[in-house]
Amino acid sequence: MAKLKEEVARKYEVLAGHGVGEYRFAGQTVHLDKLTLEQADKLVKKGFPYLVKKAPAKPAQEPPQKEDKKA
Amino acid sequence: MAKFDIVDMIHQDGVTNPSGLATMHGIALLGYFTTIQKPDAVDEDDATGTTVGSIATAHVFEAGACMKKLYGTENKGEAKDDVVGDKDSQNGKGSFTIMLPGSKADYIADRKLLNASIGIAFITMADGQVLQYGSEDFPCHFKVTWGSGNNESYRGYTITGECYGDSVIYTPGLNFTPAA
Repeated sequence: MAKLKEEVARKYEVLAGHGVGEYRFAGQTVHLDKLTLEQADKLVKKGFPYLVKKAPAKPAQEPPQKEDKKA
Repeated sequence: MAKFDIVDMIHQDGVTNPSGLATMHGIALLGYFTTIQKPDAVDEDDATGTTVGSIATAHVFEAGACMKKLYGTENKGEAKDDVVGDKDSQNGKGSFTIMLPGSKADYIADRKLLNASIGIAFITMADGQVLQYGSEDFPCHFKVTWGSGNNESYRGYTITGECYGDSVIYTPGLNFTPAA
């Protein structure tokens, strides 16, 4: 199955329910698996709806500290 | 009553306005979709010119489905929006014609299928904008004919679509990737 390039996948995900493949947007053929990050940024800026910016990753939660048992 | 006003309709300096259609379009039978987006109605509260005249959210297809490519010979196709009905009862009626060259078994099968089906067509204008013909409530009815032409003309299929309602600009463009 086709996938987004790693640099693109770090920033974007494909709109839910849609696949990585061929689209045609504003008179231009777009193969999502061949896009560079720069091309992806440009398309998204123009309103290409099939790439969605990923939500920023949540910082890893520290495990809760155990309370010291009082003697 | 409409909630938005008509705009000034003037010549736009520096804006190109090419006529005619591009050569790649999309077509989908109604059964391919799970969700078909709609433009706002003219009298909707938060309607704007943009939300009435275009659809910006992508339709959702059934898993494994997407638009099918429809090539059209340049300078042979045309898309139109007419008004039908009596005064005070007017409605839009859209239509398009695409000419596809060739003659082969798969296309003959497509002709039979399309002549017995309803759907939505996504017609690309010369400037790259895509017009949607057909909606969930008023889908396109297709008519596909074929002619050999003579030795100095055109052999191929003429695909026409007709639907009630106005065409709208479908800004997500053409989607040729089967839904996940």
